[in-house]
Amino acid sequence: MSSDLARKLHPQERLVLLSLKSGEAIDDVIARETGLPKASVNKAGLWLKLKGLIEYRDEKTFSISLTPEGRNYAKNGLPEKILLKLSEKGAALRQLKEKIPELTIALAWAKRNGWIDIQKGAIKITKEGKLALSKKTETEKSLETGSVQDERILAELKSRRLVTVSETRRKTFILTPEGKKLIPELAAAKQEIGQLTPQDLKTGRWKEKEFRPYDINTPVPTAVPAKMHPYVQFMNYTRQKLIALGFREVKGPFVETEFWNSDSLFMPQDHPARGIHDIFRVKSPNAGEVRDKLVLQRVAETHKNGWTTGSAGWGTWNPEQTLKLVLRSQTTAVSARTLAAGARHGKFFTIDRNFRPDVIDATHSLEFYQCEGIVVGEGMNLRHLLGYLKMFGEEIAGAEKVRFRPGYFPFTEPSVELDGFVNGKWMELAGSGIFRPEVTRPLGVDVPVLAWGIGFGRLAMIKMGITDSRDLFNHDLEWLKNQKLVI
Amino acid sequence: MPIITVDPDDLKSLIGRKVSDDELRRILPLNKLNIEEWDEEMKIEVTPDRPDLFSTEGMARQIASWLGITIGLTKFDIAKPKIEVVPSKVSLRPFITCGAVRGVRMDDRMIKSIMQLQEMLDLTLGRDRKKVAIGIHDVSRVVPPFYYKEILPNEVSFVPLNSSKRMNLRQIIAEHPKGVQYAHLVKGAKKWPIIVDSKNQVLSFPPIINGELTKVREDTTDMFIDITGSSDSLVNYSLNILLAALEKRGAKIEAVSLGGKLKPDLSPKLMEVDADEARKLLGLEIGNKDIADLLERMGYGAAMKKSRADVLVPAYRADILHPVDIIEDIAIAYGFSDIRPEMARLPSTGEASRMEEFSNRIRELMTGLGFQEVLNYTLTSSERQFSWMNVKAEPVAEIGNPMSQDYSACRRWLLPSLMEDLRTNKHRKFPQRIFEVSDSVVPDRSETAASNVRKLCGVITHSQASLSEIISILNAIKENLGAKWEMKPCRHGSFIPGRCGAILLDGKEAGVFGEINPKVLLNFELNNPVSAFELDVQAVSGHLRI
Repeated sequence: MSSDLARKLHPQERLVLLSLKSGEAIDDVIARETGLPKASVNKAGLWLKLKGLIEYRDEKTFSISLTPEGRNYAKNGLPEKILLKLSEKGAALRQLKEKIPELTIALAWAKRNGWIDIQKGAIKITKEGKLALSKKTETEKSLETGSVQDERILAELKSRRLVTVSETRRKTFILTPEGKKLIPELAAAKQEIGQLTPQDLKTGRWKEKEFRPYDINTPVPTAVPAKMHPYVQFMNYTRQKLIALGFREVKGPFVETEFWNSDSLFMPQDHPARGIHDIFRVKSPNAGEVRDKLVLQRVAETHKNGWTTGSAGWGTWNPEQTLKLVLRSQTTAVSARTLAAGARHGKFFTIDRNFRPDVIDATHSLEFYQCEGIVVGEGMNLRHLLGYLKMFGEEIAGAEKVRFRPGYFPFTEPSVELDGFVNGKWMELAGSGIFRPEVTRPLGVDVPVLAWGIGFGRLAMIKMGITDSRDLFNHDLEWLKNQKLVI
Repeated sequence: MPIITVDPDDLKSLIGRKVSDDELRRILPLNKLNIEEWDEEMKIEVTPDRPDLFSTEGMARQIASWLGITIGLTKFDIAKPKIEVVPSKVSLRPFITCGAVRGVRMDDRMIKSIMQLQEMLDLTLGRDRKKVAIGIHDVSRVVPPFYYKEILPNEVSFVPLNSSKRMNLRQIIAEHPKGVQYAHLVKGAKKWPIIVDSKNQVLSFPPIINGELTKVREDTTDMFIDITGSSDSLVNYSLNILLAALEKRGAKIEAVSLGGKLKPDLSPKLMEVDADEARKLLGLEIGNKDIADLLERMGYGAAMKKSRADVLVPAYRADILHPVDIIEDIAIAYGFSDIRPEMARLPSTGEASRMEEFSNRIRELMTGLGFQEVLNYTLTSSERQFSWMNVKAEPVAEIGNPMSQDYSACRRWLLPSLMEDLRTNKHRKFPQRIFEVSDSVVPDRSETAASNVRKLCGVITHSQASLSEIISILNAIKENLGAKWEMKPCRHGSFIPGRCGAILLDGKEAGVFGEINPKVLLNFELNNPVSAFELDVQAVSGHLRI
């Protein structure tokens, strides 16, 4: 039973108990011997007392400190002693008055000590006085050493206001018989290791010690890592998937001419999506350029009369409107630029911001990311488009199954909507189509171009486990801390 | 996208054979008709390219055809004209077209559907009556010939629809709800359009409002339709769509003599489609005969001449600009649910954009340095970017039609956004270290007069945040990137004088750092010192030849 008790002792309790081998010790001494802080010694002592292994003895001690007057006397001597010395040299009372400012005190104490007699105004040193001259008095010693043994001296010093006295309590730990029984066992037991120290490793001492088992369920504060923003994590997640599927990433500017944002995509210049309620117009700078005059010319002709694309065209074209600047409203503009830059074979994508006037709420934003791409190559057809869509649905959105619907985009024909069965329900995942000849031919492209755009914000929200699209741009540190990694 | 309200029973009965709810649920989305709601009524979202589907009648025609119940081109019988319309020059709305129907048996569902169609056409094809405005009249109340002309706004007065007060055109614009709503379409013009009968009774004040006189009622059987606008083709498409819908209800179409020409023209348009082209684009193994059948299932007339299809496009199809539009319909007739996806063989190597790749390396470095990433909007205000930051305004891309002043310009630098973030997080735990890697927008001489410039901004705030702390971060970035930049003391209003530096990369300024000026801290209501840096990532990437 006792060994069970020994085993359950906290290491600090053991240390304290072992320091009591001689039977008892003062807490200060224990602290010095064990190297523990005094608070820990007292805490361990309390536990040991509750277990009946030790008892306490409380004692009071006094410590004195000198007052300014006391310090003065300690340095220059007691006035009664000075009186004695001067008197011995035969100084008259008048002279004493000059030399000793505290003459009254000096006379009073010299008389009380029985060092002098005053007869007819003259000081006569007694036998005791002579003795006092030959050595230091107890009072003097006490002042010089700052410690007092004699209660009577202490009383004198106190009454003369030469010292102040403070009381300290000290605690003596005393082994009980129960405690005494444990000592040999504790001394024999291997020492336990709490925190493994470099010293333990260096000296090999850890081999003789035992590792104290820790409670793994003790609550500890959670560390806070610095992370990438969860939306950025999702962008990288999607980026990696698309790269693995052979897509190359392309970029385009936020400020865009209407030419690239809409005209090159064969959206009629009076299309509702180009109105001031659906697109941000840039006030300053106020106009851009289209430096590729050949492409500009072809796009203009296509709008006017279909050019050589076989289309009827829109019958109208305003060359000033095309140079107006807007904030890009669709990343499809980047696809148009990619084609104009010479893409004739391959797969391209972009993940980037777009802008549309809207009221910011849980489902609308002025700024939103889109993920769009194109597949350019001879022989590409609608079934290939569906093949890519199916793969996106399964790979990126994690859909269990997918389905296709005809859709509409001004720049594609045919157009396809992709639905996926995600988290137990059907949702729209992507819009897509094959670029119209009115889009590709003016850009100098004679091969089919499959174009697609993923409902990026919505997918991100599913992956991030959020329902408010404003959280896509959340920058609250507490929220970010709690947000899981996008895996 | 347009949402059309449909009575499901009405739709089913117009289709012409029994269709179950489940079947309808499956079929509609395969025909560009997406069911948004289905209670007592259906709300159906129609793609905007198909205004001919903006009515129950149009949908029923499409579904009946797709199911093979009534295939091929609809033949419209048009009776000889009894009504004459005399057009004259109307500068505001130069184009007019007209049509008439007789023997209509009105019921509630039909009125609702036709009114909805009229509204949707006005709104979409008509760009909210700007390009097209439709008037439908009970023709029994007026006496032809009718006259389309322009008059002075106070020349004629009449009782407008849903009113009992006689008003002249100017009063209507000022007082009548529709007048107020559409006033912008006539204001500024000297003369305004009007349609009157032979007795000078007003049928319509296009594009604002009809007269109460010719209001269509439940007992109306004979109707006259006027469509005015700025586009000849669009007014005629609108007329054709409307007449086709009425025809589906059993109305007899009657021609109108418009300045000597007969209207409507419901004859189909011929377009040639190359069957090989169709097979190539769709990837479907379908023969020429299949193609002809599929076209007929979409309401076209089709005659194959070897691999060339002579396609007769119905007069109500406003969306057929190019043979690819017809090719898509072949796929729709085939059924999008039946097209098998195929994996393309198009070998290519994937690659991230170098700037994104580089940005990700920087993100890894910054998180490694204990900085949490934040993401902010590009849109902000000039005030926040400059006056709040205690610096002179610089050129920015500014929006002409902002939704609010807070989002009225593109950010030229990121630091103001991160200062805002610190304000949001002022009651969170300290120390705080955040960063952002994003594009700023800087006006320049490029084609778009402004370019994206990728930047990195990092800020530190706690009670001891200091210059040396931020320099130590910058040194870590410099050394880990292998960049060679110099730091030079500089003056910058956002920072404390004497505690601010510029980063010089190949002799050019590519960044700034320091302890944030207390004036700026107060502007952002911050209580703790902040040290910060902003670095031009684009310049660094150029320097490193990435």
